[in-house]
Amino acid sequence: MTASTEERLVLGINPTEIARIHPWIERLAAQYSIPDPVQFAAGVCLEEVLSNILLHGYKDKTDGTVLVLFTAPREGYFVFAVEDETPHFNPLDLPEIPPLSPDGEMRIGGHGLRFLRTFADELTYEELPVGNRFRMVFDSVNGLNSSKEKSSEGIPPEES
Amino acid sequence: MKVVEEELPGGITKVILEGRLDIEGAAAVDLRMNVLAGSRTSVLLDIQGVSFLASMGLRSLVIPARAIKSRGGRIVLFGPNELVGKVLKTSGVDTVIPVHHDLSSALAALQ
Repeated sequence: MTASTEERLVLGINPTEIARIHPWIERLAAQYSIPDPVQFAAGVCLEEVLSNILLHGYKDKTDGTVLVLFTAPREGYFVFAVEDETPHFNPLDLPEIPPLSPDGEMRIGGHGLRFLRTFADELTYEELPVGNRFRMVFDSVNGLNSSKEKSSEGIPPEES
Repeated sequence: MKVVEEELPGGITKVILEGRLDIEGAAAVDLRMNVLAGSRTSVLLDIQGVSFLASMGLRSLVIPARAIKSRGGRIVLFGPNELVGKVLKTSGVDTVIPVHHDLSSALAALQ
């Protein structure tokens, strides 16, 4: 099933709101036949993006909202976007911190960008007049979460 | 998120985690995991029943592991599913907390 209209989830800015994405994804999965690997991947990526926005972008703010959008424009092609009203910030500009290694410290954070690049097929950042829009595509037919041979490439070029 | 503890021969504590280790699941297990980490030195963390893991949940694994290792103890992960394993590998957590898919090898690593 494809979606000609958007599905929307409006979150408050308390970090506990992140927990609401998983039941929402489960509902979308049932409605739009989202395969398990894409559900998992979308959960990982949305948790990363939302935790970054809510823990850092909205830090010290008392009110606001974050909008999470979903569309399935064609069979097996699922698009999630997150819109916030925080200062312009492109997470794709951040340097990627290397993964943990046995010789290094047991650092906890810093995996977000690597998770996004590992689990999403396309990542696109857009500045809004007020705020940011971050778009993630999951292609269950031809992408990283498809049953076809997994690609070792990084993120595809951003859409122009 | 469910946590079950089993005391095994040889002073090994098996901790079974079941459910989604998302932000909510992590909050539910953190206190118990930290108590375990402060009192056990040989821990087999059975994550066969963990259906989801991301950054928030990794904290619930890495912080106790760091505490156990700092006291000279050992901790291993046992039985992640393919997707949870991908998160462990992508983060590099699998290089600091050994991952086993076979119970006997997991137990042997703690002897």
